[in-house]
Amino acid sequence: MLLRMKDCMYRSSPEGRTFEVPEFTLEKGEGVFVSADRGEDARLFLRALASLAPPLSGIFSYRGQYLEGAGYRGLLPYKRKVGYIGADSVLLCNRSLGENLVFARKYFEEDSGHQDILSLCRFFGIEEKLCHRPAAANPEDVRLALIVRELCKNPEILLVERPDHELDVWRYHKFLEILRTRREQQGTALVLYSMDQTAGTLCNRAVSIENGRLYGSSKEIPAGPRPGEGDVIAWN
Amino acid sequence: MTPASAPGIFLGRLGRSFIERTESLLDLCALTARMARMVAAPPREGRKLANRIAVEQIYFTAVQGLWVLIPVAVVVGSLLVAQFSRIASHMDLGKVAVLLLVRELGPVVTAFIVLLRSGIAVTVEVSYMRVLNEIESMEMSGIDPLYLVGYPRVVGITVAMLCLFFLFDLAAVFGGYTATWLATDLSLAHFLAQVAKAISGADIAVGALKALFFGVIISVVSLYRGFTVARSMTAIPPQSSRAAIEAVLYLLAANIFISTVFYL
Repeated sequence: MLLRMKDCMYRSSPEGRTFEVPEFTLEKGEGVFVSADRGEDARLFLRALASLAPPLSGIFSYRGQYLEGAGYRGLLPYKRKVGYIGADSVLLCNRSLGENLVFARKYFEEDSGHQDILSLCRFFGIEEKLCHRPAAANPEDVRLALIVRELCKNPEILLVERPDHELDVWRYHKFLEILRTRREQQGTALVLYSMDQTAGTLCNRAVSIENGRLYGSSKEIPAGPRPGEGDVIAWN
Repeated sequence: MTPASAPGIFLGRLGRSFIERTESLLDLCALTARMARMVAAPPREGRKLANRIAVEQIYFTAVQGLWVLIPVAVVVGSLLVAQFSRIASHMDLGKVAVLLLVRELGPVVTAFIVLLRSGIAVTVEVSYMRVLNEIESMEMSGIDPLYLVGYPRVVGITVAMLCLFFLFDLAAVFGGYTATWLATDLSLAHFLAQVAKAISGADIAVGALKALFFGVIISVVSLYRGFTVARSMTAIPPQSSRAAIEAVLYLLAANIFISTVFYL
């Protein structure tokens, strides 16, 4: 088991509203589709999975290791294995898109080269905009750079909030196809919150959030038509 | 429930304020201790990048700050010596320059310039990073923001502060001589001989110690206020102002403490 949350309680607003996760587990290669009556609860759930929101109580473990009491430094190795593509994710504004993409590799002094980053940038059509700073680039390019940054981490868990956010239809379908490939071929666990039910076909189970509480389900989502089917995808 | 009396409300506010201030001071001490540990034994990961950012910070604070520091030092030095030349004999001017500039004004004025140029800039930059979720973004990449944002600022500002302190003293002493030369017939050699006679190794060492402490105080207070800003754009200006005022108070307290220990 990759991830387990039990009886976790989070503060969802300064006014004292809470968000409750009675039980949630995530296996390798699993895809979970999240639907919610309030978008902010869905975001809080994804942030909780990314360990960006500390639980008020409950158990939160990754590969059997308890994370709920770990300090921020103790959580860094876990966070490195999680790709978080939220609507509130950002790039560093005083660095160009390209510098943002290689920033973590520079920090960890990884000599793996940047071929994967370049090929993803080419795939999304942003390779010529890498010298722009986020403020000078258009929101779609910034969002795509964010997606490339998170995908190039080769995360074990990918958390995606509204995959259509800021993207045009063509690039949205390309992104969904990459998510499918990552899940099916590389075994990346995927947790996806979207209002587009087509995106649900990437997942094999669904959970819902109602009135600040997560309701789990192991129900298989019937396979529908693949998003963007018919597009020529040159992703490798 | 009976309503609280006016003295009760006042005491309650006083108590809460005391607790908040004590907590803030303890947090500041904890951050200083963590920074000291990082400087003593920096983590292996990210060392190259952190050192590069530290060099950038030294450039920003020390090299770019010279254009402000040198004119201020010359003006302060010349004004002081010009004023004191009215009440002191020519023979005492070197002593006055050392006592006032090297021991007291040099470190303090340098610290104020560094605080105004770099300290507040650090608070604003870190506050923006926090409000715009950039700190979170770093964490999600497995990067320790305290190491990559905090360590280079502490090292950079402290090293820059030490360099600027020496430059300030030099510029102020020469500014002082210029003022004397304009008003009297005191030769440069004579003035420098007075300065050399009046200054001791201890004066320079204590001045450097002050500069070191001031560098740490400015950087840690600025970082602390930046990292603890509320997540709202409107919280940044009051937080920057709070950082500046706190840093000034701590600088003056540290100055009094060090001067008392070494000179009184």
